[in-house]
Amino acid sequence: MGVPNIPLRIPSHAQKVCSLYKRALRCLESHTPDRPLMRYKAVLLRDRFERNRCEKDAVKATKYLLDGEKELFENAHHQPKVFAASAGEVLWNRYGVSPDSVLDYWHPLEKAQYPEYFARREQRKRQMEQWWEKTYGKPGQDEKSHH
Amino acid sequence: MKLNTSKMMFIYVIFMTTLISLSSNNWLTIWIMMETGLFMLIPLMSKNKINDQSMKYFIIQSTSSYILIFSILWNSLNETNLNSLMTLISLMIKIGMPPFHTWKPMMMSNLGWMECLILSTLIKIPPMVLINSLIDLKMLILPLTMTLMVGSISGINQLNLKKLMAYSSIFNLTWMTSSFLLSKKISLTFMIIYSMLNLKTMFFFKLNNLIYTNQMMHMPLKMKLVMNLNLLSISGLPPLSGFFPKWIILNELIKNSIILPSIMVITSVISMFVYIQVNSFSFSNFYVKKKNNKIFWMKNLSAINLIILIAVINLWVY
Amino acid sequence: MCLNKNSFWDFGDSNKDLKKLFVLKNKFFFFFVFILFFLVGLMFHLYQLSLLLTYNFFFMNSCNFSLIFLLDWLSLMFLSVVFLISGCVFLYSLGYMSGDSYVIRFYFLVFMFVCSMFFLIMMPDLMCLILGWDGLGLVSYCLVIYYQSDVSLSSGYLTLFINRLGDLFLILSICWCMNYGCWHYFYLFTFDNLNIYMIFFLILACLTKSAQFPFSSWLPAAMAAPTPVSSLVHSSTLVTAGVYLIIRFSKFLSSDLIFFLINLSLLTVLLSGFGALYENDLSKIIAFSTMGQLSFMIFSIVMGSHYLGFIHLLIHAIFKSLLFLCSGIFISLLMGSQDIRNMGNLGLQSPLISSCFLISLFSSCGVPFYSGFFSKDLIIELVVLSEINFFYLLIFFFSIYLTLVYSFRLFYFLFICKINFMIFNLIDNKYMKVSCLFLLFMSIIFGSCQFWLLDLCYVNVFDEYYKFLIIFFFIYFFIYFNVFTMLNMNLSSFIVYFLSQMWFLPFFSSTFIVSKFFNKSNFLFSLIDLGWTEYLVFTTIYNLIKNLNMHLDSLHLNSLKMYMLSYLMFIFFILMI
Repeated sequence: MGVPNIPLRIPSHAQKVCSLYKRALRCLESHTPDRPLMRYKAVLLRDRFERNRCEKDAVKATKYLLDGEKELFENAHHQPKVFAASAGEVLWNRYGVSPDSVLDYWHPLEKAQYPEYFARREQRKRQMEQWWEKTYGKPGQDEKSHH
Repeated sequence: MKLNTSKMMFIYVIFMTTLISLSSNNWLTIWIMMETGLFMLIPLMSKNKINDQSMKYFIIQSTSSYILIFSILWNSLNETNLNSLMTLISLMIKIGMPPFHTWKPMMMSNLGWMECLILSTLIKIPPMVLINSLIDLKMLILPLTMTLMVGSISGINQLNLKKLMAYSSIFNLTWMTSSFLLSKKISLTFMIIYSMLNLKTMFFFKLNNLIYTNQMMHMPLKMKLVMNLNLLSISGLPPLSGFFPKWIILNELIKNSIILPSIMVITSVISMFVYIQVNSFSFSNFYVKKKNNKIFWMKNLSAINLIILIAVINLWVY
Repeated sequence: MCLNKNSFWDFGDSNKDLKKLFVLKNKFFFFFVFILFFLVGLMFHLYQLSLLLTYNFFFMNSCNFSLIFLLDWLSLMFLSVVFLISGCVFLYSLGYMSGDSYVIRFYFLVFMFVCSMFFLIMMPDLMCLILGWDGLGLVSYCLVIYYQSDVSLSSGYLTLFINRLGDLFLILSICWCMNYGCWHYFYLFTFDNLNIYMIFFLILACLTKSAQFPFSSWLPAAMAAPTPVSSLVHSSTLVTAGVYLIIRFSKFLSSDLIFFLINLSLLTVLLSGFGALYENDLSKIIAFSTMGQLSFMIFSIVMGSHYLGFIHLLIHAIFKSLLFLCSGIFISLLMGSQDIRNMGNLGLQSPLISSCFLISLFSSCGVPFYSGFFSKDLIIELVVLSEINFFYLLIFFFSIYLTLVYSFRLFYFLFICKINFMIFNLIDNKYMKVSCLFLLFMSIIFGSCQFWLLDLCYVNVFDEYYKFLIIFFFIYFFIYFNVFTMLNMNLSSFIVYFLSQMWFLPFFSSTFIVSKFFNKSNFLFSLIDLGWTEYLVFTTIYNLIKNLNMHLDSLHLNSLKMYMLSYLMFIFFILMI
């Protein structure tokens, strides 16, 4: 949700298998509400993965991976079990809180309407900067500010 | 005190001349009233002694008056109709109708707001009455069309509010002239609403010392709102009061000619664009708290923008 | 922005008692009104009274515009239940919403909701009805988007637009009704039959409000609202408004309309049954159950027993609100997670609320001698006795069976499953518990109570095989349950998706229609705004005017002498002519 679908890196075969294993476990979890039963099935699943673990032939290994992906796709759950606070779920962004940095982008005229607050805010920012410089040292010339 | 009394007298006489010219049945009386009004306006203009506006105004007006009386006498000697091109041109110079409008923006940009107001409303009435009685509509179509084009197009890119109001008054000349040609009631409706709106706008500008459009930015929200509504009303946006007299004029004029109303409608869009351009300065959120923002009785007058008043006037007209 | 946030609504911590006092006062007011209306309703029923209060505004074009209030046992009984439930919900939300920063707005919205329901029930006039009707739609939208997240916004829009469609139908029927010169029910009741278009639009409006088949996608979506609101909306107020109107107009249901309504209500029962069977969201399951019960009511009304339908409406309101309140407590126990696969063995962890939940659940599937049984059993018997097509009868029984199955599935997931999520936040809020217990008491006694008090006596005689059906149900039930629910669902995935996504109804009622318009507008946008038209027409005209303006402006650079010269030249030309 919202994340662009651009491959940022090329995963290795092992990474692909691990990802498949994780997704298969999640799928199993959504299908089986009963926890002990799910654990039993998870052991069986692990066994299936372990059996072909030491496969040296790259062609065969890729075929196993593709078969696994296909099986996962066919057995996908219609309502996968997702945590309530993850993206697209009920608790996601329930209480919108705007970031504090928004206040820095106010217009000077707008800021002038709350003089006391912004004076204190500037003071706090300065203190924070001093603290930062004391602990981590001054930023060098090569490190450009993000602004 | 002394100065105020003389000012009062001048304004009073200007009012009187307008009324007399409206009710007279004689072209000579109207001419005399026109001249009287003109001479009463000149001392009002000369309040600002740096500029020689009163002199310029006097030269233009007296020339046009002489041409007018010359043309009328010439025509009457030849025993022909008074409806001649020369009469028309003299009157056009008098009220600043294009292509003889060139003196007007220059004049108005150097005058005070109140003189601008008188120049754009009261002083125009006697020449209008003369046009109504002397000139035929057929002769007027070409100058009126030209007025519409010039009045609407010249306003674009204008930053001086006085010049902008001058162009606005030039643009409204067409409406005024056609309303005078149609009937007295329509012309009364138009004149009342137009001069009230002008009065309100110019008073507002005067009170707040506004000369350039970008000064509109620094007003409180309420005043911006009043001002924007007012300008839109002058431009004739439908729910506002300025639209109704224009609607009536279009409705009546379309029975006489097709070409003039259609050009009126098209050029109204351009003039509307001009006003919205002015308004767009006040859309920004900048606002400096000034203590001398004056709203005074403007609040009460803002009821003019409402439809209710217009409904009453319309009932009275029809 | 951040500084003056909440400043208007937030009374501050020192005034927390004030909020409580406000709600408690409301609560007692509501209970007082409940008792009053209940007793008055009983009296009106006993003496067969009805009271009309009318204020005539004016007559225009021989149409009577008036404000009218109707008091009869139907409206009074209904209102008493509404007030009972809203009082309980107010008390409950004192506990449930206590951590929220916009509680006062919430209370005001709920109060407005109850008010509009009051207008809807009390005004027997289509013109005045739209006041309450529109109020319900608007306030329900405001309540659905109460949590300001993307999910609640999209579901709020779905709710709003489908309800607006219903308003449109109602307005159309009002327009048709203008032919009769008056919008009162009681005036309309003097006719034998009404205009078919008018009654058809009215029924369509009712169907949208009651979330029947083609318009049912909004009901599960509206679950994005806070749970106490769902309890109020989906038990007694919003969705029952349509059923109430159908009861009022049941006199005019012609045979075609009855055929139409039977089909739609049976389809909805099937839809909701399967939807609840494959759904994993607790509040959505209950929403599906509500939808099924509503179509059950509509079915019983069109089968001719509208009094029984009404009483089922009242009883259902009480036990369904209890079900929602309990589920709200479960959800807050589970930190906001609504997935029933996370719940398990709740009976051990919160026994009191679980027993409340179970009682209302049994009531909703009509287990004998719970309150839902009394009306449901009678309705089934009446349906069996009526001369209905065997196919419809089969679907009807199958849908009742589905109710049983999904109720048992819920029971299994919530109480029989092993612990999946250990609850450590024990909510011990006396307001929530008291309101649940009060509704528990009512939901136990209310069903039989209605039958003693309202003196409805039915004796039905029919074949015994129908009574054995329930045993067949149970046998088949365990087979089905073992095959499809305990084990993996081995149905082909399209059917699972079809049944779990409400027969793709949310897709067809939103994306399918909207995408057409969006595509069209995108096409027009790329054609006009991004095409040559922008340059050729608008920019060209603007540049033309600008250039003209430049030329005209350059005139004013001259001096007065030039102007006068040009004027005089003009006049000399004319003299030469």
